[in-house]
Amino acid sequence: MDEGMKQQGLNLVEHVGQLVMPGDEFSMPQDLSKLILGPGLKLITDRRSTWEEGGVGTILACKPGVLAKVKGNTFFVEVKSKQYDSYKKDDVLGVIKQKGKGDQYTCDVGTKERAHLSKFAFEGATKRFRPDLQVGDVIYGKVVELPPDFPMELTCVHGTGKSLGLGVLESGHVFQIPVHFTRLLRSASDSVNVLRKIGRIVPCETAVGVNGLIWVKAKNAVLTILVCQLITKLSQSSVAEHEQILKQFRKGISSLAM
Amino acid sequence: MRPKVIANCTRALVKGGAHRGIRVGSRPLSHFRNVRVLFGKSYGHCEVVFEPGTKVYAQVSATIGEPMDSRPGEGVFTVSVWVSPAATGEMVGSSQKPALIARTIERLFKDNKAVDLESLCIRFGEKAWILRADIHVIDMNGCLQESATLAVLGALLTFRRPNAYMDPDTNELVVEAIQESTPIKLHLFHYPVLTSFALCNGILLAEPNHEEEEIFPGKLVIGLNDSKELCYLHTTNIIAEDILLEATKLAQVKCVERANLMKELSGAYITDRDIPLYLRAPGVRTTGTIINITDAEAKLPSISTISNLISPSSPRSSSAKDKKSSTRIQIVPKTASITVLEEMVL
Repeated sequence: MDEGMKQQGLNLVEHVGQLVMPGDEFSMPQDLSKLILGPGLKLITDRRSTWEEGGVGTILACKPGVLAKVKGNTFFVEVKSKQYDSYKKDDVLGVIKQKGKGDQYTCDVGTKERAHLSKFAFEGATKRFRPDLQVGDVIYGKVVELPPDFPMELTCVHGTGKSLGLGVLESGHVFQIPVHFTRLLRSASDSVNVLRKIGRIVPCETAVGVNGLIWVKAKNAVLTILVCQLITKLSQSSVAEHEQILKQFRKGISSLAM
Repeated sequence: MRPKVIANCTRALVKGGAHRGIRVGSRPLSHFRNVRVLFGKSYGHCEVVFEPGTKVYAQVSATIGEPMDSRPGEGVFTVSVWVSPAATGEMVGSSQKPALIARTIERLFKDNKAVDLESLCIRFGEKAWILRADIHVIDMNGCLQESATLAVLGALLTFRRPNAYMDPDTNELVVEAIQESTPIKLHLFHYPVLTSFALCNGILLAEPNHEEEEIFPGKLVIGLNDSKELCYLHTTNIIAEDILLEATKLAQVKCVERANLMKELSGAYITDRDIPLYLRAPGVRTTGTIINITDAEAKLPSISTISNLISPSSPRSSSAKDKKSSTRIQIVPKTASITVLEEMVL
């Protein structure tokens, strides 16, 4: 093995904010309480003894990017990419691709694999009353099942039986943004999330899927298009420039209303 | 894997927007795309980016072989196209796009006699240069034929081949090494460039993106060369005469401008490339030269231009403005990156 190519025995906590490449190995951190490994990191346990029994495991990076840590003990690799890799419990936007004769729709969520959505996976759907979707309709769903060799399973209803925002999205506009930018748009912090700032200028409804699709609906078509253009522009510029772009946008919108 | 499904709401919005004179992709209706050109390290390598999202590169290479039986006094020009499945989301072989691109380029450069194939003959009926243009579509967002044509044009303009001749005494083929003799450039009779329009009930949308190509039924592809001669016309829908004339006028300005720019850029690149190392300023030598061909103020979509469009003026009147547009070209030579600025005087 060429020395210096593959890094082994790295410290996960010390490496935060640095570049990792696929194949880099991290040793298990000291603090194992509530350790969560997000996208781009994989836990490899020693076959002879399981991790619970005190076996030694390693953490393998499987994507190139910057190692990031969020509150608590959660680590992931921040990858800049256009392609979405599916994970369980992800909120995704999908477009109905095929209306099967059985009890499921086939959706396009941007992955290589197909995604199935059951016709009963809607709030209050029964055998008699269920939404009739057409090819090209947009749904906001959640990944529930992710079997390795089968299509993934989506749902538009939570375990409690309520939709809580999931479901069919009508009118508006769906477009693609880079996958890494959706993380910024979905963050809870008010200072980072530009969607809230946009909402103060132009009231609009949005749904951001982690698969890089975003749905926007404002009062009319022109405003929707303007917001879409703004979001595309923001996704192409750095965070430092966001404030200025928003200022310019506010100015433009106020001149429109005059 | 099938091509992407376009959402019904997007379909409705794009159609509705076109009638109001506003486009989703932050360009006005009659605004053509920004183009970025990158020349590679080797001769005959050109990469063209049609912003946003279309990226094509072309590599021209030449080998010595036999000419075709039907044309023994000419060289051969072949085109091969590879569309990456990552770019289009379609399986290799299931798409008709490669065939369409290859056919377009053959028609433009071979059937229209843009490349001087007769000068590629080494001995009548026996030896000739076989030119090969390899086109790779790296990323796709509509306008594939247009970007591929520009990439091939750039590649042909920067291609150099070694000198080859038949030795009269020994009757053997002699190929001089490209480092030892002056490389020979290809002779082009004219420089064809394509532009396109999506047709929507009499409204023209210049250089549509992928969604617009799918949503609107008609597409009009117009090709002109640097001396304003029409050399390619292809439409997929019935089109009224006055709209065709209007589109041709718009295309004329853009094609001539792009052809002339490409000529200048490739010339500037070749002179920059041929400066020997000992004459260069110290510093890292860049492998390629990034050259921007940008429309005026089109770097970022500005709200003010959009608000002008929403105001009652019809889309036609805005396109009429474009006809009068003139361009000013400014080349800043002797730098690692040559920037070409175009200013549109409205």
